[in-house]
Amino acid sequence: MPRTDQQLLETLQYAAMEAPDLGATWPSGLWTRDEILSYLNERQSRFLKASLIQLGIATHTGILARQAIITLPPDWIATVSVVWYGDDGQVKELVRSDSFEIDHGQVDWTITADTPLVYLDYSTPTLQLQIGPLPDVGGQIQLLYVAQGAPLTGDGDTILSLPDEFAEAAAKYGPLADMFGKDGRGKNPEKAGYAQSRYQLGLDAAAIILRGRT
Amino acid sequence: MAYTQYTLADLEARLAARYESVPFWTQPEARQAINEALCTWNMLTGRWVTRAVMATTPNEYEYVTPAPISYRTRVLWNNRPLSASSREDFNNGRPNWRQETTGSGGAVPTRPMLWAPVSLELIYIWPADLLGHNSLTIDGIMATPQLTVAGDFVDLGEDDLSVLLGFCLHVLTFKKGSVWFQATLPYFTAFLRAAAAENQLITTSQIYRVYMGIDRRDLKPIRGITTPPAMAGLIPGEEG
Repeated sequence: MPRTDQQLLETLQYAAMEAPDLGATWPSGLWTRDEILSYLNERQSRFLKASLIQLGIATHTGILARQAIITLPPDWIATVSVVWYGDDGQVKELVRSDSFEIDHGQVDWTITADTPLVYLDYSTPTLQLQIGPLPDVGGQIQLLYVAQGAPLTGDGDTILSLPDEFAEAAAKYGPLADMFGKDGRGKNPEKAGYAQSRYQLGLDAAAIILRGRT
Repeated sequence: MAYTQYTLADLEARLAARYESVPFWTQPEARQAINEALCTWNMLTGRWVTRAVMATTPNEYEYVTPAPISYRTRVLWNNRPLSASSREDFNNGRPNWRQETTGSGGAVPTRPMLWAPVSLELIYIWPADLLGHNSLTIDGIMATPQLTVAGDFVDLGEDDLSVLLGFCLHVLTFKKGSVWFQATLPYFTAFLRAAAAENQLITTSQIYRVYMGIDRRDLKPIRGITTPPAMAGLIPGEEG
């Protein structure tokens, strides 16, 4: 049963000894509602990126010959794989590379078209990806990526973008680590350290499920 | 004791029997703690399993596991098990694997032989089923039973119930912290130990090793790194 953002906020209220009201108010003054929501959203995205348990698939069709720049989806966080489907029937998973490697490995890659071999996402502007060498034929790209979770607004309409099994790690103990690790009257290193370790335990469990090892 | 179906009311009564006087938590908190214990137990051990059957699609190598499977553990094609692999092994072993089907001939098998987990819900099979419409059976872990009303029930053994209730007490004392929380750490380690007995892969987790007190960084000093002070007081016998 997916958790709504208000249920998550109330769980945090219980853990922080605030009066439970679905996250509407935080009367202690140690944290604000917007602050808690930002912790929730950040931890959700960090967990998704680190664990790779939920991935998005985007297909970019209509890529022209010699077109190297691909626009990434607006909810993109990290790229997992890029597969080139050429109109000539070639299907190839592109290897992640960088500009230094391809500039020195294939010096004329920006001029001479060929079957794409690599993708670069480090040296391109935000939300852009480059493939190289330039494709000699048109085609399409299938992108497997980590998508940002649905923004948690606290209005009760949004559910956590993670299974229940990982909800505690990502949406309870992650934000608690941030809350009790914050410098100020609410700082509690013991609770922050424990909460962070529970968050990490969730990541380790996700790694074991996906890869059989941490 | 054989597996029994415990209702939420049973679990709450069992939890109440483990403390005296007036607790510093409310009934909604206790219910949340029970559900957190169930979710964490399922995450670490994959206790609640289920099976789903779907049809293969012609020339398709990519499949999304259907609900109610939370994550998959075993895949069968026409009741014949596929061996587990990985996307990296597919790419390194057969660079053109995406284009290969059961009708490709040559060294490509005539039935799917391997499957690779990509995410919790996405798997690849190799080679792709050329004709499709065959059965693809997915064994996996179902979503954790969440108990919201008194009559909701969950399958549990008596031995599991003991560690789960101890874990609930540990979760409930977090908000109080200090000596009350530290006093419940043995319940948490017992929970982890029981989970590790069900799923030994957990013992490879660094966090597990820290909690169990077997993370002896003092025996292998690396650039003066020591156990973080925040963790120091949590490990019996460890000094900061």
